[in-house]
Amino acid sequence: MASLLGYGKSDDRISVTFDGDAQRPRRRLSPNATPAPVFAAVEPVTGVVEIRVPAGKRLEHQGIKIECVGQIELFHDRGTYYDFTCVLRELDVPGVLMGQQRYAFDLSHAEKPYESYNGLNVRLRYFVRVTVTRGYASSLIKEQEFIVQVSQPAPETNTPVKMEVGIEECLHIEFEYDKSKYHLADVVVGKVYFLLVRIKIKHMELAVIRREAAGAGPNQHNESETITKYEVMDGAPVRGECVPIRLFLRNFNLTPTYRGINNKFSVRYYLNLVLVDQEERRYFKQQEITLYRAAE
Amino acid sequence: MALRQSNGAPSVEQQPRYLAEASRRVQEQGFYAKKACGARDLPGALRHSSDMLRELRTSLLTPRNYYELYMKVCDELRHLDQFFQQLVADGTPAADIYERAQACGDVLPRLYLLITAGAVYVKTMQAPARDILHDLVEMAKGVQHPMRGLFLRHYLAQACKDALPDTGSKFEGDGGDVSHAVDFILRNFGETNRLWVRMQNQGPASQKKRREEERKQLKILVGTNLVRLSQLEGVDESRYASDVLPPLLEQVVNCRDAIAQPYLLDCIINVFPDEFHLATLDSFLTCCTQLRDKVCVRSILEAMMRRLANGARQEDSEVLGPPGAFDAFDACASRLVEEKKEALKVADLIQLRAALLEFAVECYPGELEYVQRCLAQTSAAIMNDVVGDDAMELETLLLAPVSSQQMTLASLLTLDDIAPLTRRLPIEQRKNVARRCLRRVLDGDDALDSPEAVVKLCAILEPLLCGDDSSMNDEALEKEQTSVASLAHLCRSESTDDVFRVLGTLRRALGKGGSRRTAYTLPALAYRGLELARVANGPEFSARKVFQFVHETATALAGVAPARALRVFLAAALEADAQCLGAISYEFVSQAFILYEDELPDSKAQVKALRSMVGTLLAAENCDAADYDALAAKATQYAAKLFRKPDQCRMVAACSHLFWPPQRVEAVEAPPPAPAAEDDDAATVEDAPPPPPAPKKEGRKRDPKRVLECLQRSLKTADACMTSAQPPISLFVEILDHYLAHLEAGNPLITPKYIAGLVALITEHVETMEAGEAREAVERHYANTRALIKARGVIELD
Repeated sequence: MASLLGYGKSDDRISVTFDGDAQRPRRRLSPNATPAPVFAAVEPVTGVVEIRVPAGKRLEHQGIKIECVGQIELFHDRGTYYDFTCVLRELDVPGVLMGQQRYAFDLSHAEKPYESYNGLNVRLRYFVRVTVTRGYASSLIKEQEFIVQVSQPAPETNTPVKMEVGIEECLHIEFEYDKSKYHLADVVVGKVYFLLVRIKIKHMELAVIRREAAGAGPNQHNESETITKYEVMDGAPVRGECVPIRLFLRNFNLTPTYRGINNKFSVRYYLNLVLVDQEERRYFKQQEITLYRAAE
Repeated sequence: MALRQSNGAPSVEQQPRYLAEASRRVQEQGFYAKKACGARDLPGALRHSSDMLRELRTSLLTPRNYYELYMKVCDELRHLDQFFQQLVADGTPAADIYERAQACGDVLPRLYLLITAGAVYVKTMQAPARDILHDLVEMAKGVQHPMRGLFLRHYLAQACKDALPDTGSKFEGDGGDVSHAVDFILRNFGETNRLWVRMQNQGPASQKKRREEERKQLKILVGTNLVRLSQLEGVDESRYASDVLPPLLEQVVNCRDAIAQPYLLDCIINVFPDEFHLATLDSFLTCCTQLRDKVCVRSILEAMMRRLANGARQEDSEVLGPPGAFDAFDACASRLVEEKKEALKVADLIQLRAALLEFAVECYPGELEYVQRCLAQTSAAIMNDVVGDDAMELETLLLAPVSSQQMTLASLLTLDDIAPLTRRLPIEQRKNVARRCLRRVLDGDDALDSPEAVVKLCAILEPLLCGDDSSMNDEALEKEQTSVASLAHLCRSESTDDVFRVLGTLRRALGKGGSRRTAYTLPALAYRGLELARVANGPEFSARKVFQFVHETATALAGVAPARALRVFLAAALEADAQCLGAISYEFVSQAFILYEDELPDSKAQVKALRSMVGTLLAAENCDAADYDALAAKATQYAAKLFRKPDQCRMVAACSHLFWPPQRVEAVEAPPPAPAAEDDDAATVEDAPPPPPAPKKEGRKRDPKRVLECLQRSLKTADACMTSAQPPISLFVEILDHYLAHLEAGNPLITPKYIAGLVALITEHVETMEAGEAREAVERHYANTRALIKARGVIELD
C-alpha cells in the first residue's frame, strides 16, 4: 500500500547491506536520526542487495537498478535537490523474481567529494537507491543512507592567531590562540593579556560559533549558531594580567569547515572572545578558525 | 546557580539565609555526586560536582560565610578525589579524567574539578608532577575575582600539598625536583597575594574599613603558602637564600600594600628557621626599608629580633645575640630613618630605636657599645622636648637599659646619653625613669667607688634629687627618698679615702634636694660617715676629717629635722668616744644638747631625745670626768624641767643612773672587733672596735648621794601625780625597778628598806585600782618585779 502513495523509499522487500557492515562505524547527523554507516571519501561503496518475494508469489519487473546519489537540499528552496553525484548500475534485466534473490553491487566509481552534513538551512546526504521497475504498478524503491566523512591531512602551515584589540582609553587586550587550524578533537590553547582595563569586567567567555551560508546570491541564507559558551575568566582582571584559555573541541558536535560546497553552501567556525562588564555590556572579538577532520 | 549581586557589597542581614540556602544546595548536589561516585558514573559525578561547585560562584556571602561554604564543599570534594583515585587504580588513564574534568562551562567549578583531578594525576605518577602543577597554577588564573580566587588557590595549595616533587618524595626525579616544588608554591603565593591586595581597591571607598577587616580575616589563605614553603624538605639554607627568599621579598615590596607587607614579613619571620634568617638577614632588612610608609617597620624588626634572640637563647645561654645581627639591624634602622625622614613620626623613630636598644640589652649584655650607639642615635634625632606619645616611647626606650638585669652600675654609667635624653621628658616620666634606674642600681648592689660615678649617676637621678617636690605627698616622698638615701650604702671601696670622696660628692648632690628631701637623705649619709669613721685609715682623710663631715652633715640636717640630727650627733659622739676622741665627742654631745634646747618644742620628742642623751652619756666610757659631770647635771636638769609630770618622773629616775656610771674594767680586753653588719640607728658601744690605748686619765665619778636624790625626787613627782584622774601606779613600779637596779649595782645608800616601803605602797595602790586594762598591765609589770625581788632575795615578801 505504501507504494501507492508514490514515494515509497523503504520497501521492506528490499534490503541493502554494505560490505564490512559489522565493523563499520555508525553515526548520526541529527539527534533523532537512525545511525548510518560511515564511509571515507575514497572508500568504495560495495555491498549486496537482497530482494525477497513472499513464498508462492512472483514479481514481474522491467529491470532492477542501483544508484549512488550525493544530494544537497536547501530547506528554504523546498523540494529542490541538487544531485552532485549520481552513479547508476543495472542489477538485472527485466524478468520474474521468485523467492529470494541477491545481487552484489559495486559503486566504487561514485565520487564522494563532500562530507555529509545536516545544518539549519541545508543538508548534504548520500544514499544508495535500489529501484525495481514494474510495468503498471509503481516501482519498488529502497533507499539506504550512508555518511561520508572526508579526512584531511594536517595543514602544512598553521600559524598562531595573535591579535591586539581594544576600545580607546577603555579596554585593551591582546589575545592569542596557538593555531589557526584545528582538527575536530583538538584543543584550543590560548592566552588573553590585559593591557588596559578601565571597565568593570565581570567575566570573560569563549564561544564557538558556527556560521552557515546556504544558497547563493540574493537567495543566500545566513545562520549563526553558538555551539558552546565556555567561561574562561571570573572576576575583573587588572592590567598586566594574563589569563589562560584551554578548550577541548571534541566535547562539541562540530564539523570541519566547509567552504563553497558545490557552490551551494558554506559552514565556517569562529572563536568569539566575549568580555561582559558589570552592566552586562558585551565586548567581543570574533576570529575565524579552520576546522578539519584528521585521519582517525 | 546562585544570584549575583551587581553592586558588590554583600548584604549583612541576609547572610544567614544566603549561607543556609547555598549550604543546602551543596549538600544536595554533594549527595548526588557521592551517589554517582558509588555507581562509578564519572559523567554523573562530574556533573553533580560542578553543580555543587557552582554555589561557590556566589558574591553574596561575606568572607567568613564564604569560608564556611568553602569548607563544606571541600568536604564533599574528598569523595570525588577518592573516586578519581579508584578509577585510575582500576585502569582509567588519569589523563582522561584530567581532560573530562575540564568540560564544565563555568570556570570556577571547572578549576576546582581540574585541581582535584590534577592532584590525583600527580599522585598516581602518570605524569611528571612539575608539569601538572605548573598547569594547575597557570589555569587557576582564570579566576580573577579576589575572594573566589583566594579560596581557589587555597584549595590548590591544600590539594597539592602531598603532591610536590620535594626532596625525598616519590615524585622527585621524573616529576622534577624541589626547585619545581618551590616554583609552584611561589607562583601560587604570588597570585594569591596579588588577589588579596586587589581586594583593597575594589568597591566603593566608603566601605574601605570593612574591606580591610575582611581582608584581615582572609590573610591566613595567603600565609598558608609560606607555611608550605617552610615545610619543604629540600629547602635548605642556601636554597632559601637564593631561590626562596628573594622572590618572596620582591613580592612583598612590589605589592605595595600596607596590610600585606607586615603580615607577610611576619609570616616569613615565623615560619622559617633561625639559621635561614641569620644567613639572609641583610636582604630581609633591606626589604624592610622599602616598605610602605604606613607599615610599622619597627614591629617587624622587633619580631625578627625577638625571634633571633629566642633562638639564640635556646641554643646557647652564653652568647645571646647572633654575631653581626645587631649591626645589620642598626644599619637597617639608620637607612630607614634616612629614607623615610618625612614619613617617620618622632614616636616611630623612637620606637624603632627602642626596639633595637632592647635587642642590644637583651642579647648582647657584653656589648655596651651597641647600647651607646642606640642612645646616641636617639639623642641625635630628638631635637626638642617631647610630650604625649613621643614621650611615652622615649620613656620605654630609656627604661630598657636602666632597668635591665644585665646592666651593671659601671656599664650603666658609660651610657652618657641617658641623662640628656631623660631631660627631654616631662617631669613625671623623668621621675619614673630615674626611679627605675635607682631601683636597678640598688638591686644590683654594685659599689659606687668614684666621685665621677656619683656625678654621672646623679645626673640620671636628677629628678629625684632636686626640683619641685610640692606635688608629692609625704608618704610617697618618704618612700622615694628612703631609696635615694640607700645610695649611701653603695659607697664602698678598698680605700677609705675613696669612700670619703664619694660620700662627699654624694653629699653635695643630695644637699641640693631641699628640706623635705634632705630630712631623709642626710641621716643616711651621716651614718654611713660614722661607719667610715670607724675604719678610716687613709693617708689623706683621717677619722677626724670624717667626723668633721658628719658634723657638717648633721648640722645641715639640724635645720630640717632636729630630732634626727640630734640622734646623729649622739651616735657620732659615741663613735668618737669609742675612738677616745674626747673633744670631738664632747662637741657632738654639746651640739645635741644645744639642739635639744633650741629646736625641740614638742615634749614627746624631748622625752625621746632625752632618753637617747642619757643612754649616750652612760655609754660614753672614755668621757672626761669634768665634761661628764657637767653633761650629767645638765641632762638631769632637762629631765626635771620636762613639762608633763609623768615624763619628769620617769626621766629623773633614768637620770639617776648618770651618777652611777658603769666602771671600766681595765683588766679585761674588749671583745674582738666586729665592725660589719651594723645597724646605724643603734649605736651600740659593745660593737665598737677596741679603743686605742687608753690615755691615762681619771674615769667618771660615782655619786651615791645624787642617785638617791634623783630617785626620791622622782618618787615625789610620782606622788604629785596621784591627784590626777587616772593615778599612774605604773610610775611607782618603774621607780621600784630603778631602786632594784641601783641596789644591785651596789649603791651603798640604796637599802632594802626603800624597796620594802615601795612594795607596800604599790600593793596598796594596786588594790584600789579599777579593774581594766590599765590595772592588768600594772599588775603584770608588778608581778615580774616581785618575782625578781623574790629571786634575788632582796626582802621578804608576803
